[in-house]
Amino acid sequence: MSAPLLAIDHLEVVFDTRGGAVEAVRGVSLAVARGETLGLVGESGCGKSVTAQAVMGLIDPPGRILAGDIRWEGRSLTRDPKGWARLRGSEIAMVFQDPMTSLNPLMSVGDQIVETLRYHKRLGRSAARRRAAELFGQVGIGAPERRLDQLPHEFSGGMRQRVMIAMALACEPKLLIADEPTTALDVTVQAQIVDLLNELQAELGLAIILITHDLGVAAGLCRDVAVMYAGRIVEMGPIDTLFAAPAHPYSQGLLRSTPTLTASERRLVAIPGAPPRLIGPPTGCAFLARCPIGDEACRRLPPLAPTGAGGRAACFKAGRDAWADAREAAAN
Amino acid sequence: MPEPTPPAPTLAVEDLAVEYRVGQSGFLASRQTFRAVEGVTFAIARGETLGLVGESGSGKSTVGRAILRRAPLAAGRVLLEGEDISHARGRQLQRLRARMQLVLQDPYASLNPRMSVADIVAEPLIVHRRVASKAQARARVAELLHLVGLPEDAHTRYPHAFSGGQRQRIGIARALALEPPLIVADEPVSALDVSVRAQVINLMQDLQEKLGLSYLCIAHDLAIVRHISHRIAILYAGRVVEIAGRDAIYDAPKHPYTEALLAAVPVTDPAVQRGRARAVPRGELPDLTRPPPGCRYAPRCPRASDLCHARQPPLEAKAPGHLAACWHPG
Repeated sequence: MSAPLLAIDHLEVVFDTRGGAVEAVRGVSLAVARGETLGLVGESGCGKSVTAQAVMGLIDPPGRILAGDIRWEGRSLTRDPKGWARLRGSEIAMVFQDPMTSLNPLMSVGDQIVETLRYHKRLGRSAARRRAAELFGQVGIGAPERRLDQLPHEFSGGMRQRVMIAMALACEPKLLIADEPTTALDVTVQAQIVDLLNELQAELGLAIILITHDLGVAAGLCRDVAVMYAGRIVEMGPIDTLFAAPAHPYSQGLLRSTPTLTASERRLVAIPGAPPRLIGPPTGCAFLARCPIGDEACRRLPPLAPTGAGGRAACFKAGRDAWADAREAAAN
Repeated sequence: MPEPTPPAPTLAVEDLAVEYRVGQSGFLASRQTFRAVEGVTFAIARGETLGLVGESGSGKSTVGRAILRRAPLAAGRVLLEGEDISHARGRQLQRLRARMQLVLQDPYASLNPRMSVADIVAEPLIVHRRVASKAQARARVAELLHLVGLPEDAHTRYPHAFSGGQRQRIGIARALALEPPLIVADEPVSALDVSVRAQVINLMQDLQEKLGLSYLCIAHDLAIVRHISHRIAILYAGRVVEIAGRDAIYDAPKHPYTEALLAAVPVTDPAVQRGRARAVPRGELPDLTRPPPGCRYAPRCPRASDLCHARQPPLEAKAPGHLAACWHPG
């Protein structure tokens, strides 16, 4: 069997602060195959974005990779910084949440794409410009020739995100990492961007890692999903089975507290409390303090073990309905 | 001052318009004005929540600001418990502000990091001279913190010691200090994590039941306001396009824009999410300095006819208690 496109092995990332070392990522392992779509979901501070930055080789001081390895097609990147820099922006591309801060406001968007193409693909000026117009067409920007000469502020939020996606695709990457690509956008525009990413994925056979706090956006785009909490993956598996029957109390709570258009309960089921601090985090299950079914046993760290439904969960009581009592209380 | 009559709603907004000037300033520069909102009419009864939903540029926050008299009214009236406050100034305006409070989106930006929680919550009590002594202020603050479910020792601590959800509780405690009949909540949970949103929404519902509060709850999508709203108004390009009871909006929307907003809400069912034929329109908001003569949604609307491009549809009843501004309602 050939190596997966991307493999992350026991990755640990810390940020040194005056208050102590913030353990942002605490032993994350995952693999992404060619053409696969993986959602990395969780709430603020769970480590999902730091994991993505680590893959891009963008962890700068005060952050550092403490342990673990990141491999691309079987080759270690952490031991080959030069090779890593070559991959970045060409084979692995990234789209960020806020396109306005990722674009140069004083340079036409066309010139910004042309620059990328000339650097990575060694194209001449006119060839690069032709390719840029083609990319604009591909991401659904009308009148590409005219719009290439415009500045970023002349684009709406949704159109700017399309520009970012066009730039990310310029070098025909094998993996696209999208970090909250729709969070800053209106819902109707958000749906358009999800549709576009789906089309491009099917057309180009891209692998996508989608980082999002919005479980609905992940549902629209990903085949697999990994749920993160306090720096660790607590559950992962095919999205259909995981969302239909989450095994970990945190995944269950997260899905339950997501507002829907149809739920009949008068009240939402809330997860009490807040995530733990990551300076000196608990050594056992990090969710214990908020978990309705946790007990003494959970002071040890539960391993990420198979659930039987094709997924894996890090919980000694995986599969039990943790929120049954809370739900009953909400119904009355 | 007229005595407020008992059946008067907590808030009534009549034909509200807010105008902004854009373009260069200067002696010879051409000035343009545009109406960020226009013809907005609704009422909120005591103990009721109206969800005001729209995307960026719809004017939803402008409506909130105009009600709080923080944006100039170009036309229309705002009545608080039957009292016309559209032109209140000075002392009267200050007194009014005690009766309608604001809860903001970002609990990180809206609390002064250098003030203790006790000082933050006590500030409105002191500004409006509701307490006679420090001891009285302390007692009232303790009562408020208890009401919003914060720990007893919270009052001596500073905002940075609290999570986003707890900060929003502090903001709510501050808003409740003066016992206002109306709270305008501008995206009160958008900045919070999903698991914490439910805590804050449940708290707002509990407080409403306990205190008979009325809420104007401003939001950018339909999922968040569903649990908290009794009625919902949909705003597009500065105009109300539909207003109805909560279930009618979700189960039987009349306006194509409401349909599009519903279709765009991401749901956590992968099969539904993938298989859904998207009723999501292409295109963008019209330029409000030159609004189209007809329906403002017509350029994006799949059902638009010649009539829609020529004449603005009136907001009128399509079913009992269900108003929509559309020539071809669903």
